[in-house]
Amino acid sequence: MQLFERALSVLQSGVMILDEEYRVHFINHWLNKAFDTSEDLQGKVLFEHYPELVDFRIHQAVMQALKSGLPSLLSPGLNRSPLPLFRGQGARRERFSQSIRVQPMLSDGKRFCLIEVQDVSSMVRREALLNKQAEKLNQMALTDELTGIANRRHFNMMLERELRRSELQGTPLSLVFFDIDFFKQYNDHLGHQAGDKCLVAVSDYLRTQLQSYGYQVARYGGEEFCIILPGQAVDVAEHLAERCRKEIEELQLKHPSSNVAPVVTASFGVASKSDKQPETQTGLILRADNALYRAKLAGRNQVVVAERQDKESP
Amino acid sequence: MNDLTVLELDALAEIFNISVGRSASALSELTQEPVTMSVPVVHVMPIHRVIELLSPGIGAERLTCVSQMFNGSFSGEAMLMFPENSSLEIVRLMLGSQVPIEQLSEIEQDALNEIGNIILNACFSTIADMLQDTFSCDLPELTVASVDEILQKPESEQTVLFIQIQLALESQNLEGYLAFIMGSGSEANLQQALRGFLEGVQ
Repeated sequence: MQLFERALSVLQSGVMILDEEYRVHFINHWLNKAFDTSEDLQGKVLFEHYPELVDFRIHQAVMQALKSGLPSLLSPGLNRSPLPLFRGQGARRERFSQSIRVQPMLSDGKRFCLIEVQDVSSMVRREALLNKQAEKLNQMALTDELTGIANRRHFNMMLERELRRSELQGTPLSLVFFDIDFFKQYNDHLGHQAGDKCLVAVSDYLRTQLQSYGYQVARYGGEEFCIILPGQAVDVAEHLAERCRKEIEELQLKHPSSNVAPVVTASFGVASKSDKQPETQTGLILRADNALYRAKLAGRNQVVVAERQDKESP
Repeated sequence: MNDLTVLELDALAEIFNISVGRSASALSELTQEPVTMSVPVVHVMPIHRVIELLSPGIGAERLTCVSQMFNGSFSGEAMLMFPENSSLEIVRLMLGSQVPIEQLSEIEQDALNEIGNIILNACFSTIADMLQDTFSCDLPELTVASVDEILQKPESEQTVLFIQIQLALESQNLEGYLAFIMGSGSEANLQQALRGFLEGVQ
């Protein structure tokens, strides 16, 4: 018996037994030391000594064990730190995350409740770190490295989500595709670094101008960008595309090898889904890309709106 | 013993509705999120029927199962099961984590085990009240496995009290199942208690 008690006193986790009056029948050294007190808790009524615990989950779990004989588990995810337990000294003293098991026990016809406490703060910290890294990787996988705006993968996810929302709420949705005019010549003439700078300048402009409206911008690939306009019908999208076209021209980025202007310009294709018409993701992208293609054929630096999908093509 | 009557099944549904409702409010308190739960159907069937019912058509989606053994005038194994995807959804909504990983982390597993423990305990105390008995009960255990692995018991003719649970969390509707695999005599004791309960009501 003495050996068991000695083992409990050197155990590096907490053990406490409460009787039917919530009186501490036994508490091991590790747990008593972790409580925020220098007193010996043995013989004290736990919830009188710590009235702030009353009605919280730990109190309910103990009650359930003593009254109904049911065991409980208190996980660190749902209860960060059910008991006022601390570790470390001085400035490094902190309340630690716990995993607690509460089990009913019968002895000589009397009900007791065994509380088992583990310090899981290193597990919680490790998991927080892993979460942060996963989030960072996730972010990296969705961001275009050069421009810092969403990449194609992210664009596809956003468009899928907005299409579903549009379907559910019966709201319209518009999509704008645009392409920087004669970008290959720009690169050939001024070099790839200048080309990259041009792409960054255009996406910086897009980001600052559009994101406050709740419009989402992405780099689809190469010199091709896209804008998703949730809840907006075709007229708003066309107006916005026209504004972007004008303002990209007004960025005054010199483009000596362009056939349409002395500065960088772009061609735009607009496609919309009306509130009633169902539309697939591929369908919407194809129509926007097709409108962009026609804008290029028609001489570039302009906006073309795709035919509505419910109209017959001429 | 006789099969449970329609009236008895309805009474059970009502009783379980009260218990899961109670655990829903406990979970709301714990997670600071609105949680509602209800029990649309209670059914009694042999265990192999449960396996058939939960077996996916193609591909083997796994179930997440929290189980507790219990012993008394009502004895056996209680299980709360969710399709693996729903369990990921539940735990993320309740813990408020954002990161889409395909498997439950250690902390998420513990949290799910606790969620199951809260729901199962609420059911146990209701059954105990009804049977006017207490029973002893083990700590919950979490398993993620296929339906077959979870429910493969030596006696495939054991009776299961099978309960569908609907859980609403932040406009998401999720479905889970409670199964009480009853030991011999438990079903008869349950029926007897139900009769007493119904007589008291009438």
